[in-house]
Amino acid sequence: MAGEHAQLSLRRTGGLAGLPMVASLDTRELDTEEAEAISAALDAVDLAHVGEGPPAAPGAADMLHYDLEIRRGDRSDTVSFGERQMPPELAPVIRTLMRRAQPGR
Amino acid sequence: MTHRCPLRCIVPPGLLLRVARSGKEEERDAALRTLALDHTFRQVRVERATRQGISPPTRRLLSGPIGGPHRTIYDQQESDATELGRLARAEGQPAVEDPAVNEAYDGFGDTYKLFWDVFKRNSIDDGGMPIVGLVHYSQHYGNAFWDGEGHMFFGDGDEQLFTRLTKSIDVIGHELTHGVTQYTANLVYRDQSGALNESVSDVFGSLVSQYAKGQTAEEASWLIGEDVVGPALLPALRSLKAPGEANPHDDQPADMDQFVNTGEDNGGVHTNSGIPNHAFYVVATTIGGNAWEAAGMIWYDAIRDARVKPNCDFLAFAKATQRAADLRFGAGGKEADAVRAGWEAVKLAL
Repeated sequence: MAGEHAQLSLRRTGGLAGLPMVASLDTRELDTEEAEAISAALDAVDLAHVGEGPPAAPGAADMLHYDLEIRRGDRSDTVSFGERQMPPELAPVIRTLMRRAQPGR
Repeated sequence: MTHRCPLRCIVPPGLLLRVARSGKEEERDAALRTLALDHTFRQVRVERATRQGISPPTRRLLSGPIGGPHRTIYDQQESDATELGRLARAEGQPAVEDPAVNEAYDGFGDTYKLFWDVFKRNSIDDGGMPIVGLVHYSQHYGNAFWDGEGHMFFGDGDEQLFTRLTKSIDVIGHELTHGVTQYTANLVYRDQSGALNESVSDVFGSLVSQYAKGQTAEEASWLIGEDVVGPALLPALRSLKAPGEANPHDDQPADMDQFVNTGEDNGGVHTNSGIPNHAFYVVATTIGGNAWEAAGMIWYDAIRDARVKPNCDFLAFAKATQRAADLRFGAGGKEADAVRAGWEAVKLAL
C-alpha cells in the first residue's frame, strides 16, 4: 500500500457545538512530504481494530465522534471511533482533514 | 490556656453542613469555620493513614474545605494525552502568565460560587470534589468536554468554530454542570435524556454568567459561547431566548413541533436541547428578576428529584419542575404559573 494514493472522507459529529463537520482529501492534492506522511500513517494503523478501545466513561459529555472512509486502490474501509478511541497514528491524518473541514448539516 | 470548644468535638459534620446551608448568617459563619477546622483534622488523619500504608478514600484526601473550591489547572502543552499534564496552578496560588490557566481557574471559581451561594452545593458532587481543568489540550482543537471521570478539557480553538474555549465563563459553567448532572439525575447522554443533560448545562452555564455579572433575566443575553465562537458560529453558539437563531448553522428547535429525530450526536442532544432551554428562558423571564433565584432553584430541585430517572424524557422533567415550583413556592403561585407557561411555550402539555 505504501506510495499508493488515498482518498479520505471524514464526518465529525458531537462536541460542545454539536455541529457536523465534513472534509474530503485526495493525497494527490498534497505536496509529496505531506502525502507520504498520510500514507505512512494509514499503513501503520490497524484499521480492523479501530474503535475497539474503551469508550468514553459513563457521564462524559461533549466529546467528539469521527466516521472516516479510506479508499486506496480497490480497497475501501470505513472506521468509526470516539476521540478517546482514536489511534495515535490517525491523529495527524484527522488534523490534516479537520484543517479543511466545513460545517456539514 | 488552650480553649476547648466542645461543639467542634461532638457535632457531626452532617449537622454542621445543614447549619452552614440554612442557618442564620452568624450560625452559618461559625459552622463554616468549624467545618474548615474539622476538614483540617480529617486531612491530618488521612495523611497519617497514608504514611502508615492505609489506603484512604481519595476524595477525602483531595476534597476542599466546605464553602470553598479546590481547583487545580494542568497545562497539556498541546498534547493529545489525557493524563494530567504540567501542574500550572493549584488552589490559592496567584495568577500566572498564561491567560488560559487563569481563565479556567477563575471560571471554576465563579461556577463553584453560584452553586454554593445560591444552591448550597459544595462542588460537583456536593462533597467538596476537586475541580480539575486541563487547558491547551491537543492541537487545533475547537472543543471542550467533561470526561465523566472528574476532568474538564479545553482546547485553544480551531480558528473556525471556536477560539480559546476558556475565555467563556458560560462554557466553563456548562462543562462543570455536566459533572453536577452526573452526580444528581445522572441523565443518560442519548435522545431526550441526553438533550436534557445538555440543556441543564446550558441553563446553569448561563446562570453562572448572569450571577457573576449581576444581570437580571431581562438584562441577560441568554447566549452561550458568544465570547469564544469563531467566524463560522458568529455571533454565538446557542440562544436560550431564540433557539435556532444563534448563528447561520443553528438548527435548534424552539418547540416540540420542531423536534428533530436523528441518530447523530447521540440522538441530537445538542439540537433538541433547544426545547427545554427555551422553556427555562420563558420561566425565568416570566417570573422576572434574578433568574438564579426562583427559576434556577426550581431547575436545581428538579435535577435532584428522585423521580427524575437517568432515562427521563422531557415530559417527566417538566413535571418535576412543576412539582418543584409547587413545593418550594406554593401551588398556584406566580412561580408555578410561570413553569406552566414555560412548558406551554414549547408546546409540551403537562
